[in-house]
Amino acid sequence: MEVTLAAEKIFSIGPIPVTNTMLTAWLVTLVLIAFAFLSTRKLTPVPNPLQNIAEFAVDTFQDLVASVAGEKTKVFLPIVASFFFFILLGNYFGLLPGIGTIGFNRIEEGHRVFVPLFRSMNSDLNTTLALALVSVVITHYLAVKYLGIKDYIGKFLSLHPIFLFVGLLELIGEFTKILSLSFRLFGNIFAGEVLLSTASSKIFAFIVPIPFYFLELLVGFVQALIFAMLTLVFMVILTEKHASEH
Amino acid sequence: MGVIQSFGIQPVLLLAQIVNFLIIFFLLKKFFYAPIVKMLEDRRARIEESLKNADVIENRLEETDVKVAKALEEARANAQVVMQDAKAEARRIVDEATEEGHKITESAITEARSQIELERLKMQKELQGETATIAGVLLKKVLGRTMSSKEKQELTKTSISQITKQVS
Repeated sequence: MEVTLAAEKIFSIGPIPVTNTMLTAWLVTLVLIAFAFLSTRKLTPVPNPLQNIAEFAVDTFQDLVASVAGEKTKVFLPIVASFFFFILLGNYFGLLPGIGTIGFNRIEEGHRVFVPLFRSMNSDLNTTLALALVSVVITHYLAVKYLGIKDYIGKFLSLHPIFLFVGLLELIGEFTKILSLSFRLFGNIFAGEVLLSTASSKIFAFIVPIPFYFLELLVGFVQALIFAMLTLVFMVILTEKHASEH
Repeated sequence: MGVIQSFGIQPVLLLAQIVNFLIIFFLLKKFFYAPIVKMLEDRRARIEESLKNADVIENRLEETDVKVAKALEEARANAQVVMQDAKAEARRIVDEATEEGHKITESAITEARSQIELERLKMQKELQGETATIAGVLLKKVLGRTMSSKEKQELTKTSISQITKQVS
C-alpha cells in the first residue's frame, strides 16, 4: 500500500471531481454540524452532557483567544475556533480504523492501484491550502475593517525608504504565510499517514503501530492548535494600529 | 506547474474546500458559538447576581438575628416584670384571703361562744330548778321524823338557798 501525494479521485459530480479527502472533509463537516446542532438544540442553564462538552470546548477556547486578542475576542473566536475544531476533527478522523484502508482496486496505466475510499483530509494539499487561504484572506479583511483602508495600505507601503523596504518584506511575508500554514499542516499529517501505513504493513501490523497512533494523536492536536493560534496571532498583529509616528 | 500537479492541486477542489470551510464557519458562528457564548455570559451574570443576592441575604440574616436577640431580651425583661407583678398580686390575694379567713373564724368562734354561754345559762337555770326540787324532797324525807314542822320549814329554806348558791 502506498500513499500518493495527490488525493485519489473517487467519482465526479458533473465537472467536479470528488476525491477521497473531499469525502472525508464532508463527513467531518457533517459530524461537526451535527454535534453543533445537537448540543445547542435545547440550551438550558443547567446543561445536559452534550451541551456541557460544547460549553467546555467554547469556554476553554474563548479564554485562550481572550488572553491574546483582548477585546477583539468576540470577532476572532468563531474564526479561530472553527479552524481548530475542523482541523482537529479531520486529523482524528483520519486515525479511525477503515479510513485509508477500506477502498477498491483500480487499473491505472496497466498497474493495479489500491484507492482508499476515505483519506485523512489534511493529507491533501488542496484542503490545507484552502484553509490557509481562508485564514489569510479573513485576516486581511479584518485588518481593513479595523484599520481602515489607508492605515492598512500604510502597513505595506511607505514613502520612507527603510519602511518601504520593511513593508515589501511584510508583503512577501503575507504570501509565505499561506505556504507555511498549508505546508506545515499538510506535511505533518501526510507524514503521519505514511508513517502509519508503513508501520501497519505486513509483519508490523500488530502492536508496533500503537505508539505511532499515540504520536499521531498528539500531532493531530498540536497541528490543529498551531494552525489556529498562528491565525489568531496573525490577526492580532495585522489588526493592531501601526505605530507610524516614530 | 509540475509541483502543483504532483501535489494534486486543482482549482475546483481548492474552491470546493474553501466553500466547505466557509459553510462550517458561518453555520458554527451563527448556531454554535453565538448561543453558547451567550449562555456562558448569561450564566456568569446570573452567578454574579446570585452571589450578590447571597451577600444581601446574609446581611439581612445577621440583622434579623440581632433583632430577634433584642426582641427576646425585651420579652424576657417584660416577662420578669409580669412575673414580679403576678407574685405580688398573688401574695396580696393570699394575705387578703388569710385575713378574711381569720375574721370569719373569729366571728364564728365568738358566735359559738355566745351560743354556748346562752345554752349554759339555760341549762343552769333548769338545773337550779331541778336541784331545788330534789333537795326539797330529800330534806323532807331525811328530816321529816326528828324535827318540828317549824324547824323543818326553816332548815329547808336555808338549805335550799345554800344549795342554790353553791350550784350557781
